[in-house]
Amino acid sequence: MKDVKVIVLRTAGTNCDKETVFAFELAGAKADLVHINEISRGEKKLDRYQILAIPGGFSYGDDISAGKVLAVEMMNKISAQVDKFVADGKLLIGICNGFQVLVKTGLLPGFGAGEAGSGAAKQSVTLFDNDSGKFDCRWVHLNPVEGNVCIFTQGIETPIYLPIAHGEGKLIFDNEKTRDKLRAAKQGVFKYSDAAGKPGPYPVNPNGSEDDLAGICNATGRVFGLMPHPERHVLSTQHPRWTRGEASERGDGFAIFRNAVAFASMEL
Amino acid sequence: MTTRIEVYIREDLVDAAGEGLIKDIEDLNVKGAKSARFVRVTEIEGGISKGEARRIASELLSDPVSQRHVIGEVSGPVVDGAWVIEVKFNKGVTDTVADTTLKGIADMGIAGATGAKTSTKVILRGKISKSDVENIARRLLANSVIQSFSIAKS
Repeated sequence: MKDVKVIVLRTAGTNCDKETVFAFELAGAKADLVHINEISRGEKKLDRYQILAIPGGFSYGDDISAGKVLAVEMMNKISAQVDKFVADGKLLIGICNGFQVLVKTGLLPGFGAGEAGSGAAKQSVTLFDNDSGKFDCRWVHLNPVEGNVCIFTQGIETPIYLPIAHGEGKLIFDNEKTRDKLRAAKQGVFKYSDAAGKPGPYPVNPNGSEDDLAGICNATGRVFGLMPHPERHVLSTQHPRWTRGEASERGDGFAIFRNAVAFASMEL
Repeated sequence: MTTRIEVYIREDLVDAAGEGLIKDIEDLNVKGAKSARFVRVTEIEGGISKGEARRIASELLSDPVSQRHVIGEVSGPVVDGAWVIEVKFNKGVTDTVADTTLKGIADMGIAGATGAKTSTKVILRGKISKSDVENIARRLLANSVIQSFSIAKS
């Protein structure tokens, strides 16, 4: 198997970076933790990596709105490298705050973008204040959307269990056309559900997301964002009831990292 | 020169913070408050052109899907007939969001901003007396150690 190199991007306020590095390394990749300034100063190059991960946290204190300032920084300072990375068909994942960054750059869902989803796309969805007005930090079930095109989640066919920790996770579309387009292109990846995969209002859907969406990808399935934290459930002992025998051998989030590394090893 | 930009949540979307405030007002035992909407205010000091102000408002300070922005003050139906409470930091208090805003403006390649200040406006509707509005501002919205507030009827 070819070596896979992952870059985990951090900045002020990122706080899930080390868990994300750990998850990718557990899946067999070599992961570097890199500050965005190292890229904008030219000290590190994205093209040396096959997978880019934007981890969770509170980048720049979530000032203005969650993920906004990092999104503006990426669009204005490293967009050429990010666009090329996406155009080359490499894998990009944004988790929680990273997902907020990806929708605010327009990389997700990437409608109107150039080749392979690269280039400046108009922002057409957003992640907005939870309906509850509160920061929700707990475990949720996610049902994979049947037939979705996401590379990261192939083979996940039953509900998985991951923690959430966010106050701005309600996914909304700019209009019905965008919602229809996302549905038709099978870009919805995970929906909030109960343990049996059934949707429902709060607390099943923790934030009021339209279509109960917890994660979406771009048209190629290679750019993926989700609000829950797969990197916080890669080991069985991270399951909140593992001592009661409810956990499986690996945490449910591990498959996402394993799929990405396996795909990158074979295809990139 | 000061450029003022105000950002608020689209009228057809839930303002969760506003709904939370209405519940808090009920807990204060103040009757009559019907709705509250928050407006985030940013004042930028320095030589910012109108085009740069529009870019800052649309690309940095607001979300094109969930929010609306105005350069200047919100007016018209959004505020007509409502109480408007504005909460500002006292002089000398660190304004971290303003500092982050200046970083974002610099990242956009706009060089003229020399300083920034942020404040919060609450547009409060209902049958409420001025003394009740003052009570709400004092007890729920402003921390008197670091903030002050003003009240106007629009």
